[in-house]
Amino acid sequence: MSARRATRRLRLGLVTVSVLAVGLGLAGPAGAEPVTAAPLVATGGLPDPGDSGPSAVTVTEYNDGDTAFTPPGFPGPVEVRASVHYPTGLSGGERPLIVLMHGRHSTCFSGSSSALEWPCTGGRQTIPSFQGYNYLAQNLASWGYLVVSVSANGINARDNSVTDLGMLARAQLIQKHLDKWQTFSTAGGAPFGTLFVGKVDMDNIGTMGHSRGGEGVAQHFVLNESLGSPYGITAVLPLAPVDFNRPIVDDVALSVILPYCDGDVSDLQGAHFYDDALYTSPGDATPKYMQEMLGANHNHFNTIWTPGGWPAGTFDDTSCSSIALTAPQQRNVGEAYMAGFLRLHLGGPGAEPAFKAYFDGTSVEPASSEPADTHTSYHAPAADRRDVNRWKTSADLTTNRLGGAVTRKNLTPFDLCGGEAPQPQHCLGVSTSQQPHTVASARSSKRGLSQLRYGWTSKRANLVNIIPGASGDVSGFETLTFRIARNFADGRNPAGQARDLNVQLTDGSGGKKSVKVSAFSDALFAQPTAGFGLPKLVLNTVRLPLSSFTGVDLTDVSKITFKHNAVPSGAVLHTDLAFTDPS
Amino acid sequence: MPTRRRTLAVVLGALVAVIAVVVGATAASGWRADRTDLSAADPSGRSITPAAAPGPDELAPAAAGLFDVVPAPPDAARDAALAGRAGTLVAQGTDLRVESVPLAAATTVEVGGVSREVTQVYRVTVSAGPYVMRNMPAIISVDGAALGVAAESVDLASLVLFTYDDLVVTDGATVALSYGLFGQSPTEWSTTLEVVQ
Repeated sequence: MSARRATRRLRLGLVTVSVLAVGLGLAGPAGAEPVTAAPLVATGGLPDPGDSGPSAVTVTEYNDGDTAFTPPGFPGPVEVRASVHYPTGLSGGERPLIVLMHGRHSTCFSGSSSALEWPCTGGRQTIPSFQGYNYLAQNLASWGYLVVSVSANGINARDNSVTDLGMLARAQLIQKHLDKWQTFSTAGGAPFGTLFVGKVDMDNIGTMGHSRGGEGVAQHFVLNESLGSPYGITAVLPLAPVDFNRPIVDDVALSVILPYCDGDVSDLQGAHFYDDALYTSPGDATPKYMQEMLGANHNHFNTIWTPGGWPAGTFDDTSCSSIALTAPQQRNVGEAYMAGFLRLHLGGPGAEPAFKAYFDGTSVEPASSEPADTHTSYHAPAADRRDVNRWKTSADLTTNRLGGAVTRKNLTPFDLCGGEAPQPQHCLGVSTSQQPHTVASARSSKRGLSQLRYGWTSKRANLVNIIPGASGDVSGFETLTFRIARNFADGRNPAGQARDLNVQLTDGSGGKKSVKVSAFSDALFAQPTAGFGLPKLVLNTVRLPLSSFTGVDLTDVSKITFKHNAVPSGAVLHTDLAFTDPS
Repeated sequence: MPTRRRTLAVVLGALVAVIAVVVGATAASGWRADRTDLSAADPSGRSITPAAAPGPDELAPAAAGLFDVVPAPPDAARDAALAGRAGTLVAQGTDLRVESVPLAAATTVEVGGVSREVTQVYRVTVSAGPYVMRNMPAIISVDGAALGVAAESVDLASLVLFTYDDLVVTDGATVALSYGLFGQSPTEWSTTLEVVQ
């Protein structure tokens, strides 16, 4: 049982394993095994992004034909077709626009046989992959948003014959649809007449793309920017994305979803979108998020790709043999995190700032996402962070970003991996597809995430970052955050057991306080192994409230110590140590 | 720890161990267990190139990217007519045909950094389908060297790749299919190449 699920069950008034263990005295003193990360963070009655909104929803479609548009440079024409979900009545003025784009799938079918061609011929009919996210569109439209889901079958039929595997074409197709919506929202046009005139905020657009569509929306963000940003893209959400070309998506709110049991994009290469967007734009005022969804596969996010959802072309791709979610369960967790992110960052009638807690490392999950277990990563806007150590270069092993000394005791190997040469390209001696942060990219030679790698077999082991006096006033921050993962390939981690550590803050007067990571986060969970190509290494965020460091003068913090006395041995990968978010 | 509690802990621990064994057995019999897991294998030094047309690269200047090691086929290889043009069988394997297909006109290509004039292109057809549409690229490799991204046939029964690389007429070589780069993705299919002429 995951710690977060335990938390949710506490909320539901049920008894958790962790509480039961404590009650029976099984948890033992610090250092005893096994460790069960058990954050006990109350949800505080947060709204659930899986809940529907108050508006009735109208569904319609526009279709300019199967060959209405030829993306420049693409070897064939594609359709300009999309479904539209909007709140019935469209009361009020402009509202944010959300564009969805599906990924690569069969394009045509006849009976139970699917085919790949465009347009469909020989009596075959179109497979409407674009309708596979109706559940999400329905949710968002009920909160007042205008949701357009774009068909991209024409690109799927030929994208393997294009060097960039169709990514620019996908971006161009989205831009083509935005051009249409610019017209719909101003002069109006067929087939809607003036229905949407004055109703669409073209400066507040969110995009969600699935799989190759995930890189498609990333590439679209870059394309729109290269054109002088004629439209305002304010939120980008790659869902189970490929990242062949490694476009950088910064200066925009970004949320990446990684399904742990993805049997298609099985190397979870979409982690690069998150990692690549950090620190690239000085002063970036937007946050970055990533969710690792245990039990989720690739196809069940799209109902048309899900067995039973269409007569042809469906399949269950899960790589997990024990934790796989059912299709409805997966859609629920997907809906919660996709709708939550878009409502958090698009504002408008469904704006809900409280959703941030579901994304920022706080150990809460939407009740509607049950029984899925989701781990999150969070990178705050630049102005809301004081980076202590990014662990990017060898210099960071001895001096942190604030100029303070870095020391360690009884930690081995204590080196950096995964980043720029001369770092080793990968961190673990297992298949590279199990290491999403460093897996090679099909269309780019960019390296991956630089990570600090170390382990311990002594309870006196520790890692210290000194905070110089000039940087010691952290009272304006709410939390101490870092990313970390259990190194499943290191024998110092017993199989199947979570890890833990204590984090201690010390102030200039010698006041100190340690808190146990497992009290606030299950980021050091034991990655599931049952299935093919598992486990996978994804670093997730630990978020420690500074208020929990009682007795420490937060205006004069002098030292951060990772004390490895919570378990006798272990090994981790770690990065992105920072004070985060305004208090 | 009191004895009763310790005993209970041992019992619970044993239960966890049993569950772990069952889970492990389940994993071993999972539907993907028949695949070849190339754990810890290094990707080939060579790389992949798309089956056909190089697309616009303005937004993706992937200098020294893996695709760049083997240049994309020239325009001639993207001639749609080549897909249906009669070819001469030059090599084969189980569910594999390698045909030499004449070009409409001679053209200069670069393979492995060497420029040469060609009048024909190899059409590699893998017919171990039916294939499901995947988002990861279907990569054909020979002895670990990636030749390029294969495209699905209309009926999804086969995968087709065009290449000028003479690797596809290496007798005894192993031809393999993986979704993603060879060495970091499972091998879905492989066969031994037999040169027939």
